[in-house]
Amino acid sequence: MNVRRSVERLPEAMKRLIASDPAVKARLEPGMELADTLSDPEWAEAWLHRCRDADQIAVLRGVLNKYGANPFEPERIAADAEEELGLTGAEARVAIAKLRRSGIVFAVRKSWGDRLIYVPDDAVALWQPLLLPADNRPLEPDEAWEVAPNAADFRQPLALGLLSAWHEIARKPVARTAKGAPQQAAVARVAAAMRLEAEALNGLLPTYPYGEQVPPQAMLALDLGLVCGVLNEQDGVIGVQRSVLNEWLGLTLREADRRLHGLVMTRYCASRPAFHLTFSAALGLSAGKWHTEGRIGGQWQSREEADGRLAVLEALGWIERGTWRGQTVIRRRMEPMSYNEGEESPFILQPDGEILVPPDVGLATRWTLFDVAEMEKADELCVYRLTRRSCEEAFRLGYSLGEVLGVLEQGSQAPVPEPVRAALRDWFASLGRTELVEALVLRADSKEVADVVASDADIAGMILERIGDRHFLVDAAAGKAIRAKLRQVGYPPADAVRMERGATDESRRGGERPERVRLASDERPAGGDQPARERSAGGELPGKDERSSSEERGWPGIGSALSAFEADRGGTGTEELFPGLGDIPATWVTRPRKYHPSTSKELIRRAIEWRTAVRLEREGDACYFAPRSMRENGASWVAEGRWRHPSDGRDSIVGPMEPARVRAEEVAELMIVLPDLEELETN
Amino acid sequence: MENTRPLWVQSDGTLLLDERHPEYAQARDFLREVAILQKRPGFWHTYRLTPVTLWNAAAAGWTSVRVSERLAAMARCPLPASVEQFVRMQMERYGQIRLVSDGGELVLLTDSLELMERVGRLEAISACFAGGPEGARAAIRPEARGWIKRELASAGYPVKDEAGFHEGQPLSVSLRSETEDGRPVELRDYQREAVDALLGDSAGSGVVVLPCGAGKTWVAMAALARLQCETLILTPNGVSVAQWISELLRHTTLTESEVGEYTGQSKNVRPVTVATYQVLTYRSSKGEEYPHLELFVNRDWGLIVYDEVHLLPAPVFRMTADIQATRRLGLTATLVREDGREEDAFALIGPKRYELPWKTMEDRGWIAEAECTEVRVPMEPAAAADYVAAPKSRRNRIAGENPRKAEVVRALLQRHSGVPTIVIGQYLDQLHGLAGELSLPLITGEMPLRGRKELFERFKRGELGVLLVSKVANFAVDLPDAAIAIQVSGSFGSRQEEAQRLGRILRPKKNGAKARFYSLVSEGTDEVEFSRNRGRFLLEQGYPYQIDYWNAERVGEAAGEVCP
Repeated sequence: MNVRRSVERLPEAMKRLIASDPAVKARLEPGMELADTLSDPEWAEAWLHRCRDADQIAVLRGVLNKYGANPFEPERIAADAEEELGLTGAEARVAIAKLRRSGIVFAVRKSWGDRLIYVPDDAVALWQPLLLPADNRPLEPDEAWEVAPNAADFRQPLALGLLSAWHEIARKPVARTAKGAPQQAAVARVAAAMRLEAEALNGLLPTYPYGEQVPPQAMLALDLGLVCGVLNEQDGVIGVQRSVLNEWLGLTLREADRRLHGLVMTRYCASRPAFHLTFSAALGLSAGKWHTEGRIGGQWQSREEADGRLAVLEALGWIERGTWRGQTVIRRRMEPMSYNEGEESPFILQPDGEILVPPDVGLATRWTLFDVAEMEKADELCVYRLTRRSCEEAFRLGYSLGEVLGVLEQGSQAPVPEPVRAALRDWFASLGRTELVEALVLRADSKEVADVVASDADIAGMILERIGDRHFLVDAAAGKAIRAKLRQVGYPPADAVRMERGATDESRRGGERPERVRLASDERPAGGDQPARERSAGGELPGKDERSSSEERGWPGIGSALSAFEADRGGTGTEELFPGLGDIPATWVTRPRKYHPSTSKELIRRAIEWRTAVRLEREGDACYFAPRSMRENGASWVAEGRWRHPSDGRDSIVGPMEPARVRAEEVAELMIVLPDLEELETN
Repeated sequence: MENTRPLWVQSDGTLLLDERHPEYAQARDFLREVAILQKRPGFWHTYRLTPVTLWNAAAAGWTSVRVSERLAAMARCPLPASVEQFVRMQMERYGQIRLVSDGGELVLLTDSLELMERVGRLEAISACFAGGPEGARAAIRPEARGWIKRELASAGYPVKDEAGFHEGQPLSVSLRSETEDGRPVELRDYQREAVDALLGDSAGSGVVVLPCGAGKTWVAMAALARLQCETLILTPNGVSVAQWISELLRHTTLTESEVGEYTGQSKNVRPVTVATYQVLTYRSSKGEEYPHLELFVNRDWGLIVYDEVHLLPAPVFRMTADIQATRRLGLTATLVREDGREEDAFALIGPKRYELPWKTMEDRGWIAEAECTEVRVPMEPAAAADYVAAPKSRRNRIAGENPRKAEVVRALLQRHSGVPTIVIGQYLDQLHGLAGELSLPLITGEMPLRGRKELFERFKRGELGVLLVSKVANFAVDLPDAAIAIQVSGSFGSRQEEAQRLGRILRPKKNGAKARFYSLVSEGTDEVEFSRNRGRFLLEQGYPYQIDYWNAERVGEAAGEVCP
């Protein structure tokens, strides 16, 4: 779930709490919205700068590292804290509660009551550079000269691959089979249009329904299309939603690609922290320069995992990889730009029918080119070609010769070269010369009768075309009138409309009409029904997508299901964090005292329940001990757990501390140590 | 992105250059050094970086850093990593492996031990070693000099051959100082530059790329006069053998007793011998050796000239591999081989030493300006019916032989009456028909060589205004004064065919007239498409087709219509 949705679902009281945080307040006052504030890198930096609580920072870093945007149960982080962060479970729970009050983590409650905590998927990239910097070092020019780039095929930016896949879907919507899987031939076409091999996306997508039938490239196109709303599904057919497509086509290539960065990160990587960190670190590099891979390889994940994930980024057209002095180096690819902001270049139309499309040509122009030309090559300049087939396709989409010439002239900002004009003229000349029509035919049994019928002025007015001695094409809508007229002139027609051949019972029920001839059966697969000559690929499918949030769209089974849960309203108060706190004597948690073993046993039991530490005096020394289990032995007890260093030295602690065993008899004075609750109690 | 620069660089090594750009000329001169021109249909010219073009650039003294920097400075987008890598890898390879002569021994030297080990692992290479390699040095069996170069080139490693040449049997020869009609003989500047490039310091062998009509024979004759040695000249067919011999006798001091013809008809081996590829690759049965390849070693040749080197057949390549100590000159209008084996020519003939593009020649007035017109001819009704009914395999011929083309030929001949014209066709029946109908002399492959030569001579002397020719006229036939070519039918195979046919009429005309090329195409048939494919090559070379429609009712104006 992203920041915006998470904020929308917050209870008002929690919103007020978050808004009272000084770093947030400073931004809300000039009029910024809460959700925008909590997505603002400057806010994150300011918060971190002001935060004096090492526990919160350690826990947040731990969460990002281990869970990314994956939801987790509070008990899990409590256990992790003990194992990995050198904190007690209680400290971790309190830190989480405080992070919730700062609007950094959020919580939902499952229907059976369990709480889940999460970092919004778009907030992970906010914190990664601050808390888990990848430490990539840019190479100096003389070092960069030694880089051997990986010999890889050219990768176009994802936005372009998607555009061609979506055009394919616009041309032929993807229907599902009776079993619910998308038709195989259709997804194969979509996959081919992406110009990516299945292996190139290895590991990007989670397991998804119909994974065997739908290759990952096609799934990427379908899922992202559904998420942005460019695609939608209506009666089992996935097609293009023209209005949303138009908005998308209005983006520059650079804007579209940036949106896709966000989508890919939140949708596929959010729940896989190392993946997410790799993506956000690599995409954060300054473009055009080789960098060492820093923590991407080795520290966050295994070498192989790092290679695989960088390979996916390369396949999506966002980075290049290379080798430098035996190590992997990466380079962020230049984003497609325009010379002058907002202005796009013309494409180049060569006299041999080749069309070269520079990087700053807009998405709308490219979409139209898919209508009228065949894409030959995706490269720095995409290459299209005008061919006989592309003309047939354009014609099918409703383009006339003049319109194609218009598209070319407008897009290239130059007259269409004569050889191209001549070729298009030749190719178009043979198109639309024949047509199959369903028509109503009036047939007489002889020329004489036909002549009599045709001589009637009224009937003549309803005849569209005489197609032989005995046959007329008549206006289908005027069937009834013709029948009446025929009766008047003395040649009443037979009662039923006769089907010449290929008739179905259903079409025989023509009832009131004169003889009917079915020339063509123009049946189309269910759902794929588009008018034969429709203007431009991507006719609107009826119906509007009414679901409000993009994260609820997309392919079922991909993306997080968090929004299915209710937002959690509680969980940040002291009584909730430490149930029973009000029922114990206050001294238990305020100062060390000597207790009878039966009482000290109760203290230890509480500490274990709350996963917190105790301070005990033993052989004249005060020390901290985090009990995990206790064995009773009559009135006495033996507790097992870990020694802890005093809280002021915690910063330097990494990893678990030494295991320990404490017997009741060793303990002189005892007290339960709770994390600092002051902040939580003020509200 | 820099929209003020002239070049787009694609990641696959394709380069697109804008001819309208102020720096076009400089950029073009640079690209000619490092890439090959693929096409130039309009303002944007397509070049391509290939291993061979980059080796050629390295052989000409370029370094990869300079090439990458120049490309980056001209390109609108950052140089794709793959291109930078490709340039570096290919160019650095040139010179890493050298062949030298060391105390009479042929030795292969590599830059590094590792490279020697890598190439030594290739079986085809280690088979050429005389004994095992010692470090980065390996003695090579002398007869393997060509073989090893070819094998390494096809494995992606060019070899710099510094093992030197042997001089061959000396022969006293020079260019005549004036022509038969008393004009002084002077090489054109580019012909002289080509010879200098070929025989320069580190060179001695290689390929000269000049368009049809640029006088490639002159380059060979000048090289012969410079080297003063016995020479073998190989050409694609008998007609061109005769033309070479007549040129040699007219423009050099060689006498008839010094010049031999080695063809199917006569086999005279003399100090300068002109032979066909065909006779060299003749053998009576498939398993047998090629008896005439002996010609390569029959005499002590100091120079071997390969005319139309892009047509060089495989057995001749093999033989050429054995005579690497002899200087070699390849002549061609294009480095592109239809079999794609450009690296064979690089390894066995040598790097490209000189190139002058077609259009540049035209701009400088060395070849005639040309205008290409496609004339669409409606099908005769009976032929049209036949065409529709015929299986696909027969349709091309029916469309090609459309009888209505005869009236168009007649009208065109009338229009250009008095201008030397050749009519070229694919189908003999059609050509015979036209010859009968229009009373024109016809040259086909069926005709004895002597008869063909005689007709060509009469045409050159102006006694015949029009010649009908079949495919034989495609290659290496010199018809300097033909100004009009009418193609009545063409094959749909080779994309070079049309260029070759156009080349026939590109010699500059005495009166400075334009050359005109007409291609007759049957409307509404597959011929339209085939013609478009063939014509694409011409278009790519900068010769756009204009299309005219033949209208029988307007025969009177028609000539004007098709010949603006």
